Amino acid sequence: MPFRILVLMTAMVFFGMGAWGHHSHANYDVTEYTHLDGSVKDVLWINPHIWLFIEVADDDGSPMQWVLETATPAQLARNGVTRDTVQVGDSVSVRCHQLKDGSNGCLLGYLTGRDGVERLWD
Amino acid sequence: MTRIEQLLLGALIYFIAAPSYAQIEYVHRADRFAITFPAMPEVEETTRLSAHGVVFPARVYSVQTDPSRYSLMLVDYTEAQRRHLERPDQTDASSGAAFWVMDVRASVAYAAQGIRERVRDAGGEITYEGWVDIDKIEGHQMQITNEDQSRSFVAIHLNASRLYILESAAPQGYPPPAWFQQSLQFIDEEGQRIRYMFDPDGQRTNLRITPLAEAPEGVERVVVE
Repeated sequence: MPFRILVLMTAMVFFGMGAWGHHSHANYDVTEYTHLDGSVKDVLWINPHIWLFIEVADDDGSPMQWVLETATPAQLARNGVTRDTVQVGDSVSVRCHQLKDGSNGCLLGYLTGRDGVERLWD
Repeated sequence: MTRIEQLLLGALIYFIAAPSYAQIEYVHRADRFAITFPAMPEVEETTRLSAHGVVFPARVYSVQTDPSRYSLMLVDYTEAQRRHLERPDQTDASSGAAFWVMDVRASVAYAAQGIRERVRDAGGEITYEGWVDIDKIEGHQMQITNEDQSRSFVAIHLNASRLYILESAAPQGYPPPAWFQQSLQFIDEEGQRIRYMFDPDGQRTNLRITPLAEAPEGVERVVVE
């Protein structure tokens, strides 16, 4: 098989994945990033999406827990994310898309964990 | 070692070695869905009045884990045509050939209308509502701040003549309970996951059937035929 055809087929499969995404993101503001720094309180590793719960200090310093929606286990594996990448108690920095109603939920986005590497979690 | 000691030791080893599942991936083949609950759901049989005034059977799958609650109501419209034909209050206006189809198609909007009325009557506020899809099966979602400042997330979908109304609620200060409705997957009668694409008019295309992904470690899959 000519190399160009192989590259084209690979690209079609790769870029086609988004079209098969599990659900729409209409309730998130996907045009802007919200930046959060916090500590991981829980990781909900379920199908078809994985969820992170992080505790963040709000404007007056009070702790507030946020929930972050991430990709599927298969997609995260393609992004180099494993169960060991983030663990409860880790300090993390994230860029995510907040729920449009302004509540403490966010679509991840990128996460920088304890190894200092920013990874795609979407 | 006596027989009783052997049995007690065996039981101890079982309980130490048995995996402790924090989540239940609940797969119901007849009702064509898979979803994650934080525990084994209770099932309650009930009925629900349709937009056009016909009573349909329904089931509620629910888990109350203080202080949060998760529920999926399935309204079974699979015999909608027969139920409309047999309704005792037939009139010329309610007996058209496609009337029962319109009743099924109206079910998502009607369910959303009912929730709007419930929230209004209870003094809550809808902070977001809009279109949503799960694997391109369209629906409606709502985010609610209740009068006691707890948060509710709602998703409503229609597939294979079955209406799914998902609700999850978490108290004030807790993160929004969005994960529940986003864990929904639709399956066929064989238990295979179904996914579509759609065109701009909402016509479903490109049916793709795949096995459900393996249950992640720590999640127990329960399959109901």
